[in-house]
Amino acid sequence: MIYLDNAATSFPKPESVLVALNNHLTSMGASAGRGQYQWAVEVSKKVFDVRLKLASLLGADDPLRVIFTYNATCAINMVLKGLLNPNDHVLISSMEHNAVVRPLRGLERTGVELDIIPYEKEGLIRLDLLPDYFKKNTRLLAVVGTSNVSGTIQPLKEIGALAQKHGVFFLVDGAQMAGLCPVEIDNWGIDAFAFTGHKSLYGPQGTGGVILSNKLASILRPLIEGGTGSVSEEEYQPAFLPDKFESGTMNTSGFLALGAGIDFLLEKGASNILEHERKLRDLLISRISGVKGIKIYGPIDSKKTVGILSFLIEDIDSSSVMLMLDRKWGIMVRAGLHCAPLAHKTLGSFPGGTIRCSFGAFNTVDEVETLACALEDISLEV
Amino acid sequence: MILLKFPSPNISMLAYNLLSENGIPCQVVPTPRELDSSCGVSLVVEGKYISRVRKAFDGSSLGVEEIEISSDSALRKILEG
Repeated sequence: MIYLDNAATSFPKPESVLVALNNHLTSMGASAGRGQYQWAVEVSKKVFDVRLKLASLLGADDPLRVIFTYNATCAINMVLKGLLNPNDHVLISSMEHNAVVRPLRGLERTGVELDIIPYEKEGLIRLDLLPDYFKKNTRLLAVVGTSNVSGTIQPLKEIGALAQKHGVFFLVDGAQMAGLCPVEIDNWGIDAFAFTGHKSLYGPQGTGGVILSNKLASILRPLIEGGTGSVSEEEYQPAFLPDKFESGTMNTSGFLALGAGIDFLLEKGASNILEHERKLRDLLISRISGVKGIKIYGPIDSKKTVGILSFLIEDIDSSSVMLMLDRKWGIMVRAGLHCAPLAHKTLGSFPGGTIRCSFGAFNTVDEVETLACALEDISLEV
Repeated sequence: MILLKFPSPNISMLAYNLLSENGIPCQVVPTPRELDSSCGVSLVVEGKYISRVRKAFDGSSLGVEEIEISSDSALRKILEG
């Protein structure tokens, strides 16, 4: 079997991730931040190390600003619903995932105003148009850092500078870029960077979070309140970080394993993994460009993307191609809209969607060659 | 012996890391209930290290409280075996 759906979740996980997960579940199963006995202290230290690693990797100067959640969607909801009030105006990109779009469509019903900034056909922001979209009541600009459909990487530094200039909070959906692309949260004026642990950070599902600026954290309302393992005598939620936003027992096993995933990433080198993914993307493009009926969506130049490629074979719907790849060749790819209808509208692939291949650290040249042969075979069958 | 008390377990862990980075030996202990009812953890350092501790924490807003652990306290007796 060939797994090419790493944008959904990376697979396989490094052996060290399994060891860390197993070690917590079998040998030291205490809760982080709960209890004062040896195991609890040891686990708390290790989970805190994961905060340190994430802050360092993503360019934030304070590990206490790393807030753990269950995934990026949870983190994005936390920011949107904890910040916005009726009559606030929000700007989003036309490449957004439903993780951003759906909560905002829900908030529109409470009086929040929403505008969508059109992007150019390859899924890249038009920086020259952006300033025209800011209004007096604009509170937040939210953009996806890297598209989950085309892999297009946005110029976050430049977008952040414009958000700061207009006094607007800046939220980045970093689900596809955390661990893969260089990110400098503090230097780029990012107020909230949402990440997930189970994609390019090579951790398990059920881990994610958001890194907040102090300014945003101080006014953000917590969505979930409850026990934090701190100031237990108080009946009110603590105001300090990360406790303000982390109530209830966290996925301790998962975050310890995420720490091992980050170690794997650092050992391999994020830039090396990105380079590897881009080489595989380039290879696939070169091998399928001549295949009858192939149409690629998004940038051809892999330097503008991560290892994600969306395409279609003319006259065959994406789900049929997916099914043939799966059943006949044992190749697993994603077909459809990838929870991002806006992005497909921008790229010109709505409503049918595309076939998406997404690479990871463990994919090989041979696997891409097999995929290319399979696509050629399928195109000839039609 | 000095007990270093912080607002939360996470801040205690941050402080623990700062002390470790600066080569200052410390122990993580439960915050004595007579000092705080927060169920948290504190750090304990030998008194001779306190100036180095202050230097390590300088510039960070950890909300630390320094408390001398009296020789007849239960905590001290446990730590000293």
